Amino acid sequence: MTAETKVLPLNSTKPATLMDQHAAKSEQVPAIECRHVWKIYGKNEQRAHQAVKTENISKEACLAEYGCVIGVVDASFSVNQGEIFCIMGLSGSGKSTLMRHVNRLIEPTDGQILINGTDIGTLSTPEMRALRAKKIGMVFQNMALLPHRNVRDNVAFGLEVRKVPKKERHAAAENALALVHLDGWGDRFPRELSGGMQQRVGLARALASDPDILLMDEPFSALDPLIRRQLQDQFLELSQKLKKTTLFITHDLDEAIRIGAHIAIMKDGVLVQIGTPEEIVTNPTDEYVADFVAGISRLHLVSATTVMYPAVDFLRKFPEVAAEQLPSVGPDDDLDTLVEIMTDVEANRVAVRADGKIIGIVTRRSLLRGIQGKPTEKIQFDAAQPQDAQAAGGA
Amino acid sequence: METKKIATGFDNLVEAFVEYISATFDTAFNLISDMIEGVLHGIEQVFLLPPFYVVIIVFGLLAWRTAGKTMAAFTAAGFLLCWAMNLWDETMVTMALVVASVIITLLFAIPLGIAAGSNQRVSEVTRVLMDFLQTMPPYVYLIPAIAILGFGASPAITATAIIAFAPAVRLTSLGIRQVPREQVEVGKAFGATPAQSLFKIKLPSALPSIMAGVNQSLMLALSMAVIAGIIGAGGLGKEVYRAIRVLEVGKAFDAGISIVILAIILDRISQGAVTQLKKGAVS
Ligand SMILES: Nc1ncnc2c1ncn2[C@@H]1O[C@H](COP(=O)(O)OP(=O)(O)O)[C@@H](O)[C@H]1O
Ligand SMILES: [Mg+2]
Repeated sequence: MTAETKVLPLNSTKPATLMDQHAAKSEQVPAIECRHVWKIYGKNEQRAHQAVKTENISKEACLAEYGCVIGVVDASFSVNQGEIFCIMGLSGSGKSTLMRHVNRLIEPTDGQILINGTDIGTLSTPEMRALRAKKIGMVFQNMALLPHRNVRDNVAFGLEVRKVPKKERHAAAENALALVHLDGWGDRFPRELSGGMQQRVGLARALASDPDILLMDEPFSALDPLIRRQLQDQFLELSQKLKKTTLFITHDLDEAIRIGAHIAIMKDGVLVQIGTPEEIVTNPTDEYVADFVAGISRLHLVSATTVMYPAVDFLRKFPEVAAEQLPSVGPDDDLDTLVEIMTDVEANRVAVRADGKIIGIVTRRSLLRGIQGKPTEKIQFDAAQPQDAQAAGGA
Repeated sequence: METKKIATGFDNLVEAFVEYISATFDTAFNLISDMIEGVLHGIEQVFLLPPFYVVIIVFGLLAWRTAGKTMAAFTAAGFLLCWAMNLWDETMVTMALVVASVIITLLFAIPLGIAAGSNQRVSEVTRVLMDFLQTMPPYVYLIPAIAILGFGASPAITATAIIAFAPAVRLTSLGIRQVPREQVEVGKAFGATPAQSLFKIKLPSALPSIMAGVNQSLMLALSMAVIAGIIGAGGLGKEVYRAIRVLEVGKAFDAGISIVILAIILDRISQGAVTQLKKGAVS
């Protein structure tokens, strides 16, 4: 593969000192940042945009009055260097529209998109092309391989477009194929491959130019569940090795939770909640998200800190408990670990220790509530409510 | 009365226009005429210079590659029959006429088809133009062609090229329009320039449709090339008219059979090429 500098070619109008600062700070600068991005489809997009913004007109009204379709509404988020960020939402919620802004396949109606701190709205067409060719790889839901090219030339397509010599780009293609365990398939044609293999070719094509950023638009949705699971595992393994910043779209919350470090939930063009999988599952912002997470198993998602009573309160209420003698877990251990301990050791209470210090106590009741997705109760010190006291003590 | 006057007036106008054009651009048209004849003679030589059996073998193999064994056998037998009927040279001249016309027409039709496939405005204008070209009776093109280019092969080729123009434009445009959206998006997402996207994605994807256009052009060109025998184009058309004039029914029939054979061979080979391409393109 070609040796490319890791720093994005910054806007040439910026003074050199600023550029140096950016380069030095590139670790902290988000890899992708969207600021108040709006996309309205249609001829009257600007007027429709104003109307939606100021009068808050509905989707239907926007279509009826302006003939415009609302794609994305005021979306802001940022993706850290090297992390996988999932966008989750039902079909038609605007996920693809939002993602296509990141490599500017779509121009925003309003708002800014920054890649490594550079506003890509300011790039010229050739600069934008170079950015797409070198820094951003894309994987499509329907694979979108070019049927008249063999697998090798499909994978090498991005390099061919950049006029990388044949020998070099074929070598890079073979490397990328090896990454997705398809070595030796270069001479075949896409139609000779199964769906799962085709999607691995799609991934290899995105990886061949060694981009910093991967955009993956429902890459596994078209595959049957078994293959999907396999590909998710393969992808996770690969992504731990390559550490590429990845924007990953899915309509499947399970997949988002398995894959994403952060998840953004999208509904009718709006990002309704952004957070870690645990935050989303334990603390959904509204009914819509709550409905989504209702069926999700919390066992591996929720940590001990979420379901514990603060040690200070608990021990004040039940001074007789010998906290030091309890079995203990770390603050990041998940509910599954707690279940394991409580069933194996027959303990009714488990201490949560951070750096050796007891910070909280988990009881059977608080654990069961956590598994159900209910919030942990406050310990009541009012003697008039013995039920709570009894419950919290787990006696 | 009035309408008659207007009609005569219009006819006069067209005639005056053709006359004006041919007088004003005389040198230019002579040059074009020479160029067209140059192309034709070059292609004629390709078919006529080698011994007939070499041509038969080459076309037989071509038919085999594109349309299979049966068609290869038919091609060989058909051409052999043309030779046996003493019409080998005429058959080859007609085929050269067809091929030359189609090459010339594709030179213009494919770029126009690409433009029409990429731009809605161009597409609308082109469609009207193509409707006009296709509904005019073919003979109409012969007369201005003669007026401008004189008697002989070059007006014949010009008229033939005009007749063969429309399907090539239409099917190229269709092919470009039918390129799957996501494939075009792939080009953009990986940083392809518009030209790269055209040559590396759109044209390969549109090729089966373009070849279907070439197939239709070939068929229309063959029918016109025979008609063009009236205005001095050589080959089977000339033979048909000569035979009819002197009432040699048998000879006219032989020439007719050669035309049918040529039509079937050109059709199946180009059709076979479309099928092969489509097979390659299905994912
Ligand atoms: N090119 C377009 N023109 C008009 N409307 C579009 C276009 N692309 C998408 N839309 C509309 O924008 C909305 C969001 O679509 P999309 O981003 O594809 O959603 P998702 O990827 O979440 O399924 C839908 O209502 C869709 O119909
Ligand atoms: Mg989508």
